[in-house]
Amino acid sequence: MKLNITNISNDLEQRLRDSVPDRVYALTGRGLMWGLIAAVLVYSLFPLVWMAITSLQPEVHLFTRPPEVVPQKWSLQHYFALWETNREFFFYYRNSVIVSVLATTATIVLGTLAAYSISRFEYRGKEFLDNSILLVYMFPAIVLVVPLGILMNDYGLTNTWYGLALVYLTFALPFSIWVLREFFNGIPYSLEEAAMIDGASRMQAFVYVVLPNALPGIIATAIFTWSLAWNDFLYASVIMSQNNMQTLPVGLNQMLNSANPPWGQFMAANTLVTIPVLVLYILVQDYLVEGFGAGGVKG
Amino acid sequence: MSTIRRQRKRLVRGVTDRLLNWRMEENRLGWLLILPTLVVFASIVFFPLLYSIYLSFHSTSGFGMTLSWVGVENYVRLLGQDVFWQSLKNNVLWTIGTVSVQLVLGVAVALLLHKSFAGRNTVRGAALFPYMVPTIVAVFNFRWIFNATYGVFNSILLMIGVVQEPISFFGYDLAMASAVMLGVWRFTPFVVITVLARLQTIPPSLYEAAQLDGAYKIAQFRYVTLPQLYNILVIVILLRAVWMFRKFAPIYLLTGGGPGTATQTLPIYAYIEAYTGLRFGFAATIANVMFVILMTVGLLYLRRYYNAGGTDVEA
Repeated sequence: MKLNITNISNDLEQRLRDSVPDRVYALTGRGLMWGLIAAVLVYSLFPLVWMAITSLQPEVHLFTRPPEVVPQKWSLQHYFALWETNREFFFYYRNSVIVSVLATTATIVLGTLAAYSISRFEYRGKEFLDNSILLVYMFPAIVLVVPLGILMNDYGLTNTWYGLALVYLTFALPFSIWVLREFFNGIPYSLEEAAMIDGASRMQAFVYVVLPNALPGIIATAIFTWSLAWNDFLYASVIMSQNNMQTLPVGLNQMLNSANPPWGQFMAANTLVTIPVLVLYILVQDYLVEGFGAGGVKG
Repeated sequence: MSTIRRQRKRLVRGVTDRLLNWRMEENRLGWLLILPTLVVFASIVFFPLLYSIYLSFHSTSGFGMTLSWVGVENYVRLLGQDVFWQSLKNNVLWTIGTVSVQLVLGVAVALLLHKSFAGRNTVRGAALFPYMVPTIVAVFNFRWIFNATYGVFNSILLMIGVVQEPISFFGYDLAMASAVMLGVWRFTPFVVITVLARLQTIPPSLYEAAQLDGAYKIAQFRYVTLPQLYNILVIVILLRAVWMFRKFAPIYLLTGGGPGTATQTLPIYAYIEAYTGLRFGFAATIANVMFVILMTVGLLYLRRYYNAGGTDVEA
């Protein structure tokens, strides 16, 4: 080995190990590890925990110095206030739910069919198709948003749920096809053959044999699409210009940018937006990691 | 084989069977299945892309959308503008800042979460969760925590006496640093997920061999882990850089591109031109230039990697 920083530090590490008893060394290492784990947990979760705490504290307690890290009093007053004074929030919520469900359904239907086609069939131009799908996934949204905004307006699709859902396919569909294709490639063709020998048509084999086996991939892409639609600000702000059609990110941004923001209410709203994400995340965590590991990565 | 038997049983009984029970020539079926996707891509990706190029050669005014041909004037004007170069500089700063910190932090956290300890899955779940948090939520939590007047972060700093005056995190000097901090918090889990997946496939025998050669932890990381991670890190850097470069919402929602143009990146510049200035042609020009920059740098990066003997990796 050459003489360099790594080797010097390796030397130091060796001397350190030799100079302290093994048990002490192991214990220190263990302590250090748990300290770092605690740091990672605090770093990752503090903004969310603080949001929940803020939303559950009575107004007067929000602005005390020093801040109450462990709240003295709990209250749901901000949630009631949100309902009383910012009822639009619940319309935004409804729009977000509808648009993300529409986008997810469309992505799964189109994505599974297209991925199955790429995975199992041979035809001219397939290679090219496959590559361009990947390229589409790398497009910056801002390039598409200006022309899409104008075109959707011309087609009469602005301020409609399905118009916005359609726009989300630009990114959700390439990702889904990419991930699902990997899953389909991993399912042995003999399974479908067996079904077809038993008299099933190609599409019956697809629906009853291939799809159930690709469930983790389907769940991963569904979550991806759903969270894309739940999260997106850029397209929603352009496609939905009417206040009553806006989705959560755009609607919240308007609420929150007022001159004298009632922070308690905002944190209550933020908490309500995060809850479905958290529930879904806990339910499908294992599938998610598997899905992202298998073919996939997302932005 | 019981799953197959169950599936066969379902085959006979399915209600939708009749619908699915049509047969056609293989190649034609393949085309038919992908046709809806092609129609969608043609209408909402390729056509708008062409339209964007078309728009950039026009000047537009108002919602009446009167297009008048101006040739390359938009491009000439854009490249001569200080605010364009300022935005590009911010864009590069934001990208390099977020990607480098994400990378170092992401690899460190992945190494930590790769160790075995009680409750590892729960800790992994918690550490990866910021990636799922909606941007708007992350942004407003940051604005609340780092608020100059009521923010808990400033309060703590004041309390322990690190500072005498609250720090203005979204003022001119610190706005970009705050944006980078948000970007790091929100997107580092991607690096953690990918690196963690790769770490799990490194054969333990490599570490045993290194140990026999007298390598302790730090040397093991340098001579075993890092070379094994090399290929995946090349791809992670590329993807993260492309995705961070094109990000719009995190910065826009945090600072709106301000104060002044302190955090204005190219996507924000294009957005403001389009929806505040209603200059769609000019906005399309900005977006197209940005797209070209992104693709050029991305391809050069990949070419360098392959020329240096890099192998194909499935990310």
